[in-house]
Order: sequence, then structure tokens, then C-alpha cells
Amino acid sequence: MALLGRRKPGFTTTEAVDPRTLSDAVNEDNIVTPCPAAEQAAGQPPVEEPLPANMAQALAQFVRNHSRGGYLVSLAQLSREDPNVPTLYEQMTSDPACGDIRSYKTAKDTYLYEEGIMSELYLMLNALALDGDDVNTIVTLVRYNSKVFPTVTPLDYFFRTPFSMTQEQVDAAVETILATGGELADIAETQAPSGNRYLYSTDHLTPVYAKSLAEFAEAND
Amino acid sequence: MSVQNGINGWAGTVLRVNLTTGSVTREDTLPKYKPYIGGMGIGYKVIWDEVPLDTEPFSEEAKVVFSVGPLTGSGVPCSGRTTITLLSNWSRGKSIVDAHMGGHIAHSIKYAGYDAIIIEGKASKPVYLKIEDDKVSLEDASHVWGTGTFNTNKVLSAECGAEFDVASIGPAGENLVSMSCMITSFGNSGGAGVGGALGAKNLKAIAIRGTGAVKIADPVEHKNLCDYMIRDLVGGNNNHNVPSRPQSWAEYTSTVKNRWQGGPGVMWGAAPDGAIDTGEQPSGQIAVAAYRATKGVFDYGDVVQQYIVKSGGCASCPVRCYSEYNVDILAEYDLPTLVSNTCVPAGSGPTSFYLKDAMHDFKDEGDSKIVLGLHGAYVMDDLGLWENYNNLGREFAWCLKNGVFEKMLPKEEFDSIPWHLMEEGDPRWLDDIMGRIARKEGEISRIGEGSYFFYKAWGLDDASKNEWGVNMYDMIGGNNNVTYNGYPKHHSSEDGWQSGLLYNVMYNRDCMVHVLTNFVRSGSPFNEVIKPVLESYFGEGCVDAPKAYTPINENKVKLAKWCFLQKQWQDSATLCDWMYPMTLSSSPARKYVGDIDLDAKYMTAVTGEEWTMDDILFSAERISNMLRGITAISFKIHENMDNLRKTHDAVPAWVFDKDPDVPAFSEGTDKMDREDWEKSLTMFYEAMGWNVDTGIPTRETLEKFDLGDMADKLEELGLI
Amino acid sequence: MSEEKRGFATKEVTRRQFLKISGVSLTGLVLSTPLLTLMGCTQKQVDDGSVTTWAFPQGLLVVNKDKCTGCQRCEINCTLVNDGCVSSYISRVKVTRNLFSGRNDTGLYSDNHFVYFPDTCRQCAEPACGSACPQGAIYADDSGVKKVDPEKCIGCGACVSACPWHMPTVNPVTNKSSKCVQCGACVAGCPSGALSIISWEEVAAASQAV
Repeated sequence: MALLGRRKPGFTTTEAVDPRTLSDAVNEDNIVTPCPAAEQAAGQPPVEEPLPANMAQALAQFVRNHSRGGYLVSLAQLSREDPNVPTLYEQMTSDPACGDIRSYKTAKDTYLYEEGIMSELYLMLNALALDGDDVNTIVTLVRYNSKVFPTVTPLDYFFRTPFSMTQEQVDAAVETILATGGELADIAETQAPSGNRYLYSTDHLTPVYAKSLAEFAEAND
Repeated sequence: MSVQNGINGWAGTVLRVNLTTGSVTREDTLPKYKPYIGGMGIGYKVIWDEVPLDTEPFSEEAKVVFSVGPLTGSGVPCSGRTTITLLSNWSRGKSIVDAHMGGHIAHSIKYAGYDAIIIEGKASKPVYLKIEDDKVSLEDASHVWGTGTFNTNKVLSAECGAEFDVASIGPAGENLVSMSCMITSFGNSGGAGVGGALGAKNLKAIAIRGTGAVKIADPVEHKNLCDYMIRDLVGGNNNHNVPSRPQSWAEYTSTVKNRWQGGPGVMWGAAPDGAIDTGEQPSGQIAVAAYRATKGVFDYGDVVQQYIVKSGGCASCPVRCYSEYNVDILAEYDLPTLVSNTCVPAGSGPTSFYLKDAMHDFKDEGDSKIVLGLHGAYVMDDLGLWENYNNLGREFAWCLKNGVFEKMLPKEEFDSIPWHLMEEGDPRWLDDIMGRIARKEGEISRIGEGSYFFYKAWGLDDASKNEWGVNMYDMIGGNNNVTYNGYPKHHSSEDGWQSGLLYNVMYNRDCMVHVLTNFVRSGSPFNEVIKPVLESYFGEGCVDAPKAYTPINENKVKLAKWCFLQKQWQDSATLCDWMYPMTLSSSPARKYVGDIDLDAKYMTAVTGEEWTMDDILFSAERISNMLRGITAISFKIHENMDNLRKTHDAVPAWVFDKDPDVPAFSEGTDKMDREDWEKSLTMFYEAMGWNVDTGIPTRETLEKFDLGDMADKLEELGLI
Repeated sequence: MSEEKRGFATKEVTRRQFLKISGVSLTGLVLSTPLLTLMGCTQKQVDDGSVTTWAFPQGLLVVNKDKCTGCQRCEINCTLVNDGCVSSYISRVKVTRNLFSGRNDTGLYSDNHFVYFPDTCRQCAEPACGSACPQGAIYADDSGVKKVDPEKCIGCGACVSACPWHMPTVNPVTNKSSKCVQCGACVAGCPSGALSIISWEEVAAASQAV
């Protein structure tokens, strides 16, 4: 059989091979491998996913598939698309086979998810994004960050998934927040030396502290 | 045939090359160097034993030690580091320093069979050192002398063979510029004047290939440990353990700009055959670790994604803290478009050579830093220039802003400089100005002597000696000098309260300790993660919240000492100073607790000996005392100073006087308090067993670490 | 489009189609979206040759050049698992040879600085290494993996010379040939997915997707 012209005179125990002289050229017929495992898999019948026993369980599976992709399922949205959904939801909540399906309630909606797939934080971020109330999204996270870390929140945080807000959306929401006062009076703005804008809650951070944290958030070295 | 002597971990041989005589000799690494472990420990031991501390650092009589450790090349993640030990030509006292070079060459050194390569003497003409296992020779380098590091590495690699790794000096080293380095891979470097130290010896490069192996005592356990580290512990660059972008599995996201910028929608936009989405990188998975850092986005912002080809970095490391770029805009200036580097050299360093107003966008908003910064990184690397953690850039920027060059340069020289290139924000400005520094052309190139001698030459270290009334060490704003010795802070009190400042002042160059900043800037919440985990290790009050510091206490000192010793260990092991120890982890299941005993587990599995962290830190403390003793002797010899506390460890005014409207130890500042600092120093010296008045190790401490000969020398000089 | 060109767009996965994807010649084959997703690549990457595949017992080995970041952990894991030590030279997967000055002007010290990738054993149907071995030390096990019998190997290096890509190496310590045994350690340890394995079940399922 062909050795592809590579045989070198004599045999050596160690050989200084210059790999730069190797060729990528391939003789296809010689490369094909009759791999038993590959043949076996090829010979298997198509894999069939078991069908759900009833439509309530189908709803549960629908929720699971979405959760595994990092998505929540909006009960309100789904109910608009299919009027059977509210009934199915009731059935699902009392079916032990669907015990891994949880709900996350906001003021606007109920979101369904499979337990144990997404973190608590991601549930919160997702629900906020789906609620679609930019002001509430920003206010909630600014307060959360001010309290838990503590840290100030850069405005570009909201450009990231799952929010994917535009500059215009963020600017408009921030303008509204800062002008509203009342229940939102604790939300204030500060800037880093770079000029980048940050928000924080005065319930948890003083203006002097917030300003220093904005500088801290960006320090590069 | 490689050198094989059946030892686990260590290669077993120290190679000594005398460039004057051409002689090549070998000695066994063990047992002689065992108490020093490897890397920095071997380097410091060799310099202490063999190089009188009044030796000129850039000379035939000086020595340069390339060394690695028992964990180098053992498969431990983030162990692809080479330590280079030499005398400093540029910091006050001209004392001992070590540089740390990444890339892949550390592996080649171990596989070729060496734990260290000692360079002595001076060749009569330019040579490079070629090592192939036990074949060691000095080869003619006249065909690459005078050329940049990229050309040199390319030519020598082609000449020696595909599996040779190469590291070379550039014109800066050849011209004995203090601010010089050595370059390997593509943008990996070892600085601190290594270029000049080798240039003074006519050694242009090292080319090395090894066919040997690192022997592992318990390979099954060792593989488990390596997998465990990558799977369950490590996060992104600097072991930042929380992603910046929301990810579905992540309990926290960072609002502090941190070094885990990869995430869904963050792209390696210039990947040759279609952009690659860095996606989610859950803790608990190995195959995603390399996407976390995506460091370019940290350095430049989202606009850089279109230029990122992929990530890169050092041998054995899953983190990949370099981004590798194709900046096609540079082609319009006939400049190379493929560039790679990270951190200061890639961004804030080179752009310091422009006035802010001179920098303009090229194609997208905010991209001037990318175009100018990356081209600058390329130029500096090719010239083999080093920027002293950007003291070089900061000094240049200050002089530019204050019209200093016009006053200090001869008129003819000033007029010969193409300032218009700077004013136009043209990338070719960097080729000119950095070329002058690398070739010692003109008075402006004095900046390449390093801060200490540069300030002295231009009277910038004394407000009465210059017309701007400035002391560059003390001024507030645009100044990072952390001592009066000529190097800046490197994650000091601005990240790590008194603890950070304590170890920052201990070295003869910017310190390499990232232990504190790694968790402080990780993006983890202070109250829920950082505080409980660290206090579980070091006790209550060992950490402060960012910008909300408290007075010094015993546990902060314990933490400071631990961080300080860790760096000596890491550079002896060798392990990456940016990653270890695994203080925190990325694992929600572990509640973000890391594994600070991991390093000892590696040592046990690799060497087959029982190692504990106490064993490791004891050796690290030995090396720390060598650093300190040598520094004391150097300061006596070169500066006639007897007291390190008052001289070497003195901290410039800005550290205490910044934020004048905010009191120390209140929310809103990271400034230090002078009285508290004196107390901190005293407590730290006590913890280290050093004289509290002078900061010099006592005889008792030195003898505890078998450094009695060092105590003798200190006594002879009247220092103890 | 011919039957062969449609590849995984068809429901029927023939033996020939499986054999075809075992080699380098994916170019021109239209792969289904589910399979491309499993492979973590795009059709363009396949067509431009950035992505190559080889048949392993555990599944389809996918090598993606664009994802290799030069960490050398494939070599580390190979030797740690198979030799109990760590080395580049005797590693059965080889990336260092491409990392510095690779072929076709690639590698960190070439002009195409960022092109480097691991070379893997091709597990040839009629292996040149096996044919060249004077001792008949290279055999195929039950899964079809070509291995070296250390009892028979005399370390002559014929396999090294004969292999068009010089993949085996004679271990200078044991004096035995070390060649890839498809253990999968390199894949399991790759932190960027430049090396990945898709199980045959998943490949079949993706191929059967409409």
C-alpha cells in the first residue's frame, strides 16, 4: 500500500522531524475508518421522545424546554395565545409529575420555570425584562446592588442580556426616575472620573460613598 | 536524548553558561536548592551566593538567573511561568529584583531538563543560547542583533526548528536601556531591566527545545486536582469568580468592571471563519473556561469585539488572559495589524504618550485607545521596552501636559521630534518616540533610565529643583509612586487597605501580589461572599469594604503577611501571580469558597512528599527574608542608608493626602492615615520578625531560616 | 443536489455518510443545523477547513482551529493519563509543533501569529504505522482503535517515519512507540472546546432531525 512517499531511509529511535514539512493533503480512501460505534449508531432506529400523558404535562414540558434555554414562560402571554392555558395551569399545579415547575409572580404577570435550572438572580432579571417596565427594572436592580454588594450600578449594565435596552431606552427611563421623586426619591446619580454615569440608592449609600464606589468600579490597573 | 534523572517535579539540573569562556557546566538542583523550592528561590540564592551586591547590574560580572520550579510543566493550571532574577539597574539601591515571563518557554526549560539557567560573563560578540535537551551551544546572533524581538524570534525559530521556543531582547536591551524587557511567544515579556542585563552580555536570545518529561509521583491524584481546579474553582482572569454579564446559572453579576467579560453575545468577532460567541461559562464545566476572560473587552469596552481573533496566554493555563487582535485600521498606516497583549501594556501604557485631546476616534466611538494602545504594545514589544507598570507613561504624560520637554530638551532636539504626529493622534508617533527611548537618542530618552534616575536628572524629585515646583513622588493626581524608590503601586491601598500597602512597599519594583485584588475586584458581593469567606480564613476584621476602611488590626496584618509570602511561593513554584491562590471559587455550590490548601496538594501529588501549606509558606518566608536582607545591604552599599523603615518603606504623601475633604477611615476614600500606617508597619515587622525601628530582619529570624551568613554580612555592615 | 451532497439534510443516515464524516472531507457537505450546533461551528468554518472531524469510538471528534488558544493542555492531559508524566514530545496529540513555527507559515513566530491547532491521530483504515511495523505491534482493538502492543514494540521508529503526519513518537525513556489510543483525555481537558466529542447517538439524532 502507498506510504505516500514519506518513508525515510533507515529507522531511527528519535527523529528530529520538522513538522513544517508535513502536508495536510489527505488520501480520502485511506482515511475512512470503519468505526464500529459509528456504524452501530447509524443502524439504530430514530429516537422517539415519549409523548406527554396529557396537555397539562405538555405545558410542563414546554416550560422545561424554555427554562433550559434560559427563558421564562409568561402565563399572561401564553393565555392570550391559547385560552385553555389557565385551566391547564391549574391542572398542572396539582399534578405531582409537574412538581418541578415553579411560578415567579410580579405585579404584572406570573412566570413559569423549571426548578434548579436558573439562578434566583437570573429569574429576577428575566422577570424584570419580560415585565418590560424599564423604570422598575432599573430601580429594582439599583436598590439591590446598593444593598447587597454594596455597589453603584453603571447604566451600561442594562445594555446586556437579558435586558438589551437601547441607549435611548435607558436615558429615557433614568430621566423619568430622577424626575419622579416620591417613592423613587432614594435613587440618585453619580459619576466616575471618566464621566460614566452610575445610579445608587440613598437608602444604602451616601453621595460621597457612591462617588468613590463609581471610581472604584472603573479603576483599571 | 533529554536529561532524565528520575526526580518527581524538579528537572534536577541547574545549567550554568559562562558567556566569557563559553563553558557550560551543570550541578544538581537537589538537595542544595530544596529549601528555596525553585524559581525565585533559586534565583535569589544564586545572586546572594555569587554576586557581590555592589556589582553593576548591566555588566560582565553580573548574573541573570532564569528559573522554574517543581510545579512548572507538571500540568498544574497556570504554571507556565519563568522567573528571571537579576540586580536592578534603575530602582533606588540597585538591589535584587525578579521579572516573570509567561508564554510557553517555561515548559521548554523543564522538558529540556533544567530547573535553572544561570547566565554569567559576557560574550565577545552577539550570540544566542541554543539549548536542545543536553546539547547547549552559543550561536552567532549578528544577523539578528539590531533587529526587533518579533523578527529575532521569527528568524531564530525558523533557524533552530519548529519545536524550539524563543525569547529575545530588542534594541532597548542592546542599548542598555533600564526600562527594557525580554519578549517571547507574541507579547509575553519579562521586564525590570532584563533586556539591558542581557544586552550588556551580548546575549540576544535563548532558543530552547526539550524532549523530556516532568515526572509525577501520583499522576492519578494530580490529574484529579488539575481537573478539580479548572472545573470547580477557577473563574476568569485574576480568578474573578463572578461574571460581568448575566448568565442563567450565575447568582451574582459584577457591576464593578471585572475580568470575566465573556458572556452571551460577547464575541470573538474577528475569528477567521465567523464570529464566535463566548456564550455561557458555568462553573463546573471545563470546556468553557477559556471564554471567560475575553480580556479585550475589559481593556477597551465592547467596541473591541470586532477585532478579537481569539484569546491567548501561557502554557497550561485555561484562563487565556491575552486577547489576540486583528486591527485592520492599522493597515491604513502601513502598520502591522496582528497584535496581542493585555492590561497596561495594551492600553493605558501607550496612550499615555498622547495628550487626551489629541486622541480621536478612527472608525467607532471610543476606538482610539484600541488603535493607539495596541499599536503601541506592538512597538514596545518589538523594541523590547518595559514601562515600569506605566510609570514611564505617566511621566511622559505629565511632561507633555506641562510643557516640560520644551524646557528640558535642547532646542535642536525638541524641533527634530515630530510632535505633529502626536497632535494628530497618529499611531506612527509611537514608533518615533519609543524608538528614541529604545535607542537612547537624545535627552528625551533619559526617561528610559526609570523614574528614580530620571527624576533626579531633571530635578523632578525635589520641588525646589524644578520650575514647576513639583515632587513627582508626592504629587496628587497622575502619580502612582508607592515609594521613593522609583516604581508605582500595583494593587495597593486603593484595593486592599493597609494590607495592600504593606506588601507593595516590600519589593524593589512594582509588586506582583494580586492575592487581595483578586477577591476585592471579583464582582462578588462584599457582605454576602467576600467578608464571610475571608474571615473564615483570617478572622474578624481582616477585610474592609471598598472605600470604607477601618484602622489596622492583627488580622489585617496576618492577611498582609500571607499575601506577601504567597508571591514568593508562586514565583518559586512557579504559579501565575495573577491567579493564585484559589481564595474564592466560581462555584455557587461551594458558596464561592476556594481552596487555599490546593497548592500543597499539588506539591504532594507531584513530588510524592507530604507537603502542607505551612511547609510551603516557611520556605516562602525564607525567601522573603532573603529579599529583605539583600535590600538592606544594597541600600547600605549604594545609598549609605541604615534604616529601611525610614527610607525604602517610606510612603509618598499623596497616599495620605488624597481626597482632602474626606477623613481617612470613613466611607468614600481609600486614603491612609500616617499614624495608623506607622502602627501597621510596626505590626508587620513584628509579624515578620524584623527590627521594628529599622525594618531589617533580626539575627534570630535569619538563623531560623538558615540565613546565618546573611546575618553575618548585615552585622559586618553595622545594620544589625 | 446529489444524494451524497445533501448529507445530514436527509433523514436516512447511511453508512457511507457516516464514513464520509469520519475524514477530513467535510467541505462541500451540507450539514444540518442541529449537527452544526452540536459541533459548535458554522457551515463557513467547515467549508474553509477550520473544522475537521475524526471518528472516535465515543463519537465524532471535532477539531476547531479557530477555538484553539494554545494552552497545550491537550498534551498535558494526554501524557498525564497515558504516561504518568507530563511532556510535549511524547504526547499523542500534538499542538506544540504548530504553536511556534508551524507549517504553511502558521504559529506564534510566523506571520499568521494566531493560527495554531492540535494535530490528532487519524486512525487510518489501513494505517501506515501498522503496515510499517516490523514486529506487527500495532493492532486494532474491538472498537477499531489502533494501539501499540508494548510487549512487541522494539522502539525502532518505523511507525514514526511511516506516518504521513509523524504522529507516533518513540518514548525515549521506555523505548516504546506512543500513539493515540483515543482515550479522550485531550478532549475532556480542552478549556475552549477546540477539541470536542459528540456522541454517535447525538450525531444520529441530529442527522435524523427534519
